[in-house]
Amino acid sequence: MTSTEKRLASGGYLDRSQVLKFMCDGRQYTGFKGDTLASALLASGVSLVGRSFKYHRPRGILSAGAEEPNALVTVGTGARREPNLPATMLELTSGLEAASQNNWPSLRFDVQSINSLFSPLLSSGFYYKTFMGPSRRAWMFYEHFIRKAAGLGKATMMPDPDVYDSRDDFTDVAVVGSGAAGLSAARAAAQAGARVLLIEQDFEIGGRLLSEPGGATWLHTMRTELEEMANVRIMRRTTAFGLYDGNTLALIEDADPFAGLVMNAARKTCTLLHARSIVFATGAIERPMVFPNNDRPGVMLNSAIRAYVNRYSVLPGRNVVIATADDSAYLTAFDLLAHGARVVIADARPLAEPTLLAKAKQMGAEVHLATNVTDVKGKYAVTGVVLAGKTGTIGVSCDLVGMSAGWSPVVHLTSHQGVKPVYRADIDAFVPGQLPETQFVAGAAGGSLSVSEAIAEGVSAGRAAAAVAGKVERVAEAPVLEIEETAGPTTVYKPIFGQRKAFVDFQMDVTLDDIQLAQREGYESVEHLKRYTTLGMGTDQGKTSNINALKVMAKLRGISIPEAGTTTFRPPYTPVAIGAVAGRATGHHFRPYRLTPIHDWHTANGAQMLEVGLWMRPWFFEASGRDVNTAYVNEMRLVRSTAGIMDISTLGKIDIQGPDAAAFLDRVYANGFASIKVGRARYGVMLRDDGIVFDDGTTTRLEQNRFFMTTSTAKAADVLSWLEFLLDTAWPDLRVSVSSVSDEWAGMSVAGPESGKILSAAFPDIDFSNEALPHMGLAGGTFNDSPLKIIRLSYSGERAYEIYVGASNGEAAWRHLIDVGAAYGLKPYGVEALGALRIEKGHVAGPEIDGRTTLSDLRMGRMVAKRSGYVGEALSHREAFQAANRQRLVGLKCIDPGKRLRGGALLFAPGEPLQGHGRGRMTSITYSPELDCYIGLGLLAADFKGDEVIASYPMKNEVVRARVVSPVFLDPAGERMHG
Amino acid sequence: MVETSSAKRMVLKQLPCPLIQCDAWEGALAAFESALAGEIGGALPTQVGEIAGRDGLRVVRAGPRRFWIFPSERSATIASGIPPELGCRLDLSEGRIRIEVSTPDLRDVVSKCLAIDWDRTLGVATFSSLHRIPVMFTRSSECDGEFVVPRSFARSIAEWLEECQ
Repeated sequence: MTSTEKRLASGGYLDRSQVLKFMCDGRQYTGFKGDTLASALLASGVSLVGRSFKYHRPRGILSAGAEEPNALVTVGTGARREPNLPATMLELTSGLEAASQNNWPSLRFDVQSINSLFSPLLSSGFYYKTFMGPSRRAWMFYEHFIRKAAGLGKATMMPDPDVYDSRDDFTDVAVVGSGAAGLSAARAAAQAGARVLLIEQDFEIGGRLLSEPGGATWLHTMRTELEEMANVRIMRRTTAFGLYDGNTLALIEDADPFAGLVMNAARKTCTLLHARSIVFATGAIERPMVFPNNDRPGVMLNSAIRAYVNRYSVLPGRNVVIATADDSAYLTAFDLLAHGARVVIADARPLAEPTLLAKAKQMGAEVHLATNVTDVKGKYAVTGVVLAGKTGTIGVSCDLVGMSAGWSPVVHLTSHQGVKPVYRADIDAFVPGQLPETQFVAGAAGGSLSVSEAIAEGVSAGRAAAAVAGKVERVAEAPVLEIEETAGPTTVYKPIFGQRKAFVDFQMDVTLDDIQLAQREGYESVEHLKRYTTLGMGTDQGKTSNINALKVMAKLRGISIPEAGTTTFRPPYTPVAIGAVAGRATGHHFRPYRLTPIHDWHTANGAQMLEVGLWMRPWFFEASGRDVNTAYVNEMRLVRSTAGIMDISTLGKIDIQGPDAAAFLDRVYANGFASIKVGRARYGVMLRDDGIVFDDGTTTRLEQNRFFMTTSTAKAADVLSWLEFLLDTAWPDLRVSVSSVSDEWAGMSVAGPESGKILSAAFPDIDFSNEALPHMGLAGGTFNDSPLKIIRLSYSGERAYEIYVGASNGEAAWRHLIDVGAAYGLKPYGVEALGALRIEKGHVAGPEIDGRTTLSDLRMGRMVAKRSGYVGEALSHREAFQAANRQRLVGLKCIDPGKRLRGGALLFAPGEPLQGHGRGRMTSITYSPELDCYIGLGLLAADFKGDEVIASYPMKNEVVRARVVSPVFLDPAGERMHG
Repeated sequence: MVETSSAKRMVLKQLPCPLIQCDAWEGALAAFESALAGEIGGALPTQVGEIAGRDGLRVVRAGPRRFWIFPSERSATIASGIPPELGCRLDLSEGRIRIEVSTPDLRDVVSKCLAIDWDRTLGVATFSSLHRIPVMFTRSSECDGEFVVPRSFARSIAEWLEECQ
């Protein structure tokens, strides 16, 4: 069933040729293109649209904008169900499916509306006072039921099927808001020559001018002019929700629902807009009055009534009471009267502008001065009000109540960077404080509520904003707009105390009584008030309630409004879909991945890949075993018995050159590098400033003034940044250049007793004898005309070679080695085996170099025994680092038959209670096929006496005995790698 | 390596990227620039991001004391004569990939990748980061652009660019 009983026959910014069918709570309605869900429902005679948060009171539509606290709906179904959307901002589309929230079994008959009967009990702090016992855990029990009883809509638990975008944009001048001020500012800035981006949260340009019956022509002229300017871009359906450093605005943009189906198009787009200057023309929000039952469906802001009448061509009521403390409400009355409504004006002020009074009476309105609404009748829709004035109390029948207690400039964005808004008594409102020189305010956002002022300020702000960007071409005057205006507020509206069910915050169900109670209980600061009563929370963040609340608190405390202050404004201004912030960086694109030059060979040859940092590395090869535990042990045996080949392209590789390169490395590494000879490599350890070990690796001297450094895979970027930092800040005098060449070289390691033979066969022009290429020696050559570097280094403890070749020849070199080495039993192995091999050899890695260990802790103190002047030296001598109970590197061998060690296990002395952090911890473990038991590296207190520890792993309730041994389990003399 | 792929209206090519990096030592910049200009036979760009070029050779000022030279093909001789007391040379031709992108939506695609001012990118080299990966972006028109990216990230970035379409 449809009804258009409240739709006016003509007018408004509607395309009546496009009739749109939509559903709300299972019923079908129609509206027009240009409607919001709220206007279409109002036009269809729907006044009840929701239930309140706490008391489940019936609620209607309060506003016509983003400030809406009541008319929240859930849109969509299934995975696309989206809750808590203000119907006042929802652009009507064909097929829209909306549902009211927070009610059961139906909106009209909501069982939990019984809460309203207990409202005297459900006052501020009710939960905190009531649900604290009997035990400290009681709240966890109650919370579940409380959350079910009170709340908003429910989000879907299904994965979001929509696409979102996140992007950056740049402009000279950003203009936020497209009312009279914003349009004037954009035009002026553009005429001055600046690139302008005009941002409007609505789907229609115009702001409050859309509600002005005489503004259409001016609006059309300005909009057309801007649309034709090449240096102006207009973003509709876009909310600037945050202001950040460097004039960066965060924008959230809804896709145009009438744009047609575009494959892969984003539903919402989050933009970081970098502007050289910003004009805030964000307008003002009308404040509600505070009187009993002011939340009933049919009680509306006067500005909203104007919007529905003039923009949406809807007459929300025919018998209307206009309550006001502000002249602007008279314009609402005039518009209603012009459309045949009966209007009673209840002006709280003792005096009003005579011309307004005269016109109101001339048009047939009944005006009561010094009169307040003291009650609203009707449950699901307004049926009347009680007015109290000088002559007593009267009842007035009506179907709509308008209210206006003045205007609150939208100062949210201007406050996000810490600029406190300041109170202006003349307009009873907070306006932006002193902004940076690149930010400007125009129009109602700055407290100038008249349209003529807004236009003038807009032109001025636009011109000034363009000048920031160096654009100062001549700016023409804005077209004149002649509309009926009022003088603005002439008095400060103060809520009257002693009224029951007089709501201050509609969305959070906070009443005047709640604020009084909070004040009595000591929650006097507006920040405490907010947290105690939840006032100003929720999806609307108190856009219509905060100022009224602080005025109430100021009055209760006997202080001025500026003394009471405002709460802190933080982004986002309106709710933002998390998906839009993420953009397309989800799933496969959550983060980028890195591939080695040999990646495709690995995947084609049965490698199980593992993400290590951003790198994709072979974890193990299926040919070695059916699962990782089988495979890595077999791969270890392969390396120990014949030879294995490993892709080490992921190692950080840094080219260091310059006349002072050796001196630089001598300072960077804790162990000396000045004396290293050309053609030789050396293991090096870097410390942080604070004496903690930073990273380790090898560096090879390629030429007198040129070195090739390798770092751990994980620390590659950090080490390069550290080197650059030192050169830029500590030693800018050194003639040294450092550059990442990690991507330049494919790297592979051939390790095992047969490695020398394999290399000799693969590269017959190079002499791989111990004499020609000893351990830590360098050999050079070419492969496929690409430079080739072979360094005899060992991480596994076996004779081993690191082969580096230009990345484009990486896979070819790998294939060549595999082909040649097959005769010697060469096969690939993965990172799991690599990690296990290094444990057997006692080499430290990330689990030991964990940002807490020193050289001494890692038993490397002797490396620097006689050195000084290296980074980290000074603080490495700290007393704390010399403590007798510092945890030092040890080897641990499982001695319980059939049991295993686990990384992370805590170490205790036998007989000690297994409590606390113990004497140390296991850092790395592996099964050792050579020793036929689990072994590991650990950090154990140096003052620990004894050769046996208890390794406790509470996560699995495991306790294992281990023997403390040397961390070098295998070949301590190094015969294998030197042999 | 040449890979060509297309997604919808985008044509995307991954190409080798011959690149020579030259660094000047602190205090020797003027002499270094003079030597380098002599080596390549033309004036050097004066501002970071500026591009100079001749005969298929593009020279980009990558930093106050750093130049990137893009020859049309790999060369062991370009800038090889710079005296070591003035600066140094490093061949980075293996470590970078050029991703050429042609699409009428290039501005939109770039806005989803890089925090750079599109209107100021025509004819200059912009150094930025994509997903925190260092990249250099240039464009010759509204539709044709080029990303110079680390080789190991090239495939991931190419997929990302196609996704952004």
